Amino acid sequence: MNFDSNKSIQQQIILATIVEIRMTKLFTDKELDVLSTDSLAVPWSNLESMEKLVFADVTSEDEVEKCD
Amino acid sequence: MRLIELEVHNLRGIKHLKVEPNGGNLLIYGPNGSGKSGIVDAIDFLLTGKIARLSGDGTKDITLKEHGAHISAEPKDAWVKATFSINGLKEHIHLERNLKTAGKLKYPEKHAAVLAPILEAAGRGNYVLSRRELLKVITADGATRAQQIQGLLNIPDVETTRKTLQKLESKVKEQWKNAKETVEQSKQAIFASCEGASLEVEVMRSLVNTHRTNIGLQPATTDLDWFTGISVQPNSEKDSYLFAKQVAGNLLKSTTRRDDISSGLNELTSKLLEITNDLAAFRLHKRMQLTQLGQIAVEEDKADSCPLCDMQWDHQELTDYLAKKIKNSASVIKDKESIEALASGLTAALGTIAEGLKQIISEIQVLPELASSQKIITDWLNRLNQAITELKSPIENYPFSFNPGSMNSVLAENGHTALSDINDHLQKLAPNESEAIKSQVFLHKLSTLWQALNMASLRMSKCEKALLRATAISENFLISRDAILNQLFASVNDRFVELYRYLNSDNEGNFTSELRPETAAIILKVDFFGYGMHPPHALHSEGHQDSMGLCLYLALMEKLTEQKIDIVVLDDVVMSVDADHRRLLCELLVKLFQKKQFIITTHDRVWASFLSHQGLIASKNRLSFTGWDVENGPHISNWKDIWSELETSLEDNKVPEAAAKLRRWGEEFFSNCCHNLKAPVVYKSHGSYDFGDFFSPAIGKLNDLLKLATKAATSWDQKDRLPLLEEIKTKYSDSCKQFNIEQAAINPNVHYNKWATHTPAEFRKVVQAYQNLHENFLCKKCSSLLTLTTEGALPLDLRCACSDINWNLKCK
Repeated sequence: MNFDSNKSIQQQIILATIVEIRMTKLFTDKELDVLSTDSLAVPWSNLESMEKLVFADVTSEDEVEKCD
Repeated sequence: MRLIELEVHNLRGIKHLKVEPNGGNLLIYGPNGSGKSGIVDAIDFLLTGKIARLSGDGTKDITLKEHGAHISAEPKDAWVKATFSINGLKEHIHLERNLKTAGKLKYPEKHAAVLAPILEAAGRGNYVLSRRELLKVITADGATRAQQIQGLLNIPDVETTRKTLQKLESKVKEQWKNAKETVEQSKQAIFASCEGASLEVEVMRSLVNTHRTNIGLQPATTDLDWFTGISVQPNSEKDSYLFAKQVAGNLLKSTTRRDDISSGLNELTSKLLEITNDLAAFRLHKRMQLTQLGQIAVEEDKADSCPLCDMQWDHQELTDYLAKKIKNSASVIKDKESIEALASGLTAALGTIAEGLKQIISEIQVLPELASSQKIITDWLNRLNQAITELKSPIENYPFSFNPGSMNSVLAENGHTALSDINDHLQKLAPNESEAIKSQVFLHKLSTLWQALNMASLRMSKCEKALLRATAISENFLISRDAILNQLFASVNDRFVELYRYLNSDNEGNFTSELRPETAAIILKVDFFGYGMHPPHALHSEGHQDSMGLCLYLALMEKLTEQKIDIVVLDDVVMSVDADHRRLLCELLVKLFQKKQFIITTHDRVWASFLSHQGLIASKNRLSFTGWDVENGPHISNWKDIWSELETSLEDNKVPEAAAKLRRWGEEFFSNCCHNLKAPVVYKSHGSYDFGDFFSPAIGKLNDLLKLATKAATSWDQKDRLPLLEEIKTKYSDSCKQFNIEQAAINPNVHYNKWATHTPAEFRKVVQAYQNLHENFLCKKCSSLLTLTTEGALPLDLRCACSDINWNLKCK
């Protein structure tokens, strides 16, 4: 994990977090895409959006396999 | 990004000003109140749309709109324009911002993508340092320093996200707890309506199949078929009464459960009494809770003080202390767990009764003749719910609001009487029905309850998954944050140590420091001459603190603006750094920050001259602010060197004033010459040196070095260099002779400034001698002082900052 001055610290932390939570296999690729800062689809500092995301049951067996 | 040209109009103290540093370092020298910082404000405003000095502590009534423009100008007439060079772009970019539309920066649209990260970095103010901010970072407590540095790093966003994710985890956990409780209640409702006392699948399947057989249905082969075939909706009043009667009958029959509850309450009371009677144990329990709460608070806030008494602690020591205290209270934890397990069993048993009562109340509420009985069992239900609530935290809630030793209190003898009355009345309304009808009613009700349990279980499962996901995000965010910040801070700390050691190599060559983030604080501790790590303002002098602030800022700035902004604004930041350390600071800026463009303001002429002599500032990039007035703003002139200043004094017939200036300049100039040429100065234990101590060693050393340069050129057979060297030596010799004549003449007066005996014309000759001599020590091209480089004690070369002068001193 190298410090990248071209990205804000917030961005770097979020990207590193995504790498970590990908390994938990609790999220689908689609959800991880949504969580990535580049798309900014889910503002990490918005409680409602994050709540909606953790409750969204889009994890299907196929997608879990895809995570593997 | 480097500043090529800056034009300021009607902003703050500046009426109109245009400077063209052309990407080079820029020096603005002038006395306090001459408007120097107006240039810093202008750059700040242009890049951020704000002026940092107009915000923060003590600026409550100051606004950019009202106080940003020059005193006599309207906001629409106040603007800043600048041209910048950008790394990787051939063409320069022109930026412009008007005070009236302060939020809007004008720039070529095609460069928006290139400018975005630069402006984002500029918005954090990483590139400006004033002494106002310098000490804040150093002397602040951990939390305040965290805010300062977080501001620089733009970490407030990170902190907001951390809090959001923490809230998310708590909220989802709360929802999971509620869902879990609903599942428990659903199970208790089934318990209350079943004759069986277990929800094990085998037991339930057997019960269901018995009732299915009673109504002529095949036993269910799979768990999904339990309620298949119960198509008739038993919704008549009679059926409802029948079901209520069954539930009431179950409750009345369950004497075992009542006995269990009664003995359980007695056991619980006895355990709680043991604790409360043993004051020490009770205190330990109470303190245990406090300690655990304290541990959470300290952990969450990364506090470095006790949350109760505010006594200062090292955070880690406090955390370790609390953990040890909790660990040592293992027996207390064991007791607590035993009491909570007992209370939990009681809660489930009482919950089953409560759910049964709810079902009965729901069925009989349409029967006015049972109103009084209904009221009694409703009161009973309320008491049960209160008892259940209290039993969820038994130690905290003891003594209870109910009397656990009294059957009437929780198990309500009068409630049982009312229940019997209800049962009798329902018996009349729904006389003995066939087993088939009873089973039909039972299965229908059970299917409803079973469905509710499934729904609740599904919800709990969803909450469980959501909690796992929320926890994963929250925990991994913290892990990632710590990893990235630790890496960043370790790197900044290393650079900070390197820079500080450079500035203080004389006595703090082994300096170390510790800079690390903690949840809500940033810890900075520095070594004090090998006597341990301490807060930076605990033992170090103000000058050292200034040095630390500057070094920490430079280390942070370098890391955060890399490849974005090369501009570094130092707004009067060396006030309390002594002369020797300023020299090193200058060297440090020249040697270690070659890629940066420094914009330096100072009111100190010696420092200003020194920056020029060391080659940091080209002579064309020096601005002199000589004064300021409301009408015209700063009085700006091209750099007024010492000779012009002396002439001004002499024209005003102020010989003593000119003499004092010359003496001060001479001391500084020749001490710098001695430093750069490594000329030996006679040591004085009192450390007080003056002009006389420096000029002679400096003159002698340059003479020796020029001779050595001639000798080296001869040894290498560089005949083409010899004529120029001879010319320089001759000129130098003449200058020295003239200087010695004047110096001899004025020597008695040097230390006392008795210049009044000289006329301006006489003193001009002295000045001329000084000027002629000093020119021999400088490069004409870059104005920097000649410097001797060595390899160990061996002279290598004599050169200037731009290398236009570069005399080899090493013989063949």
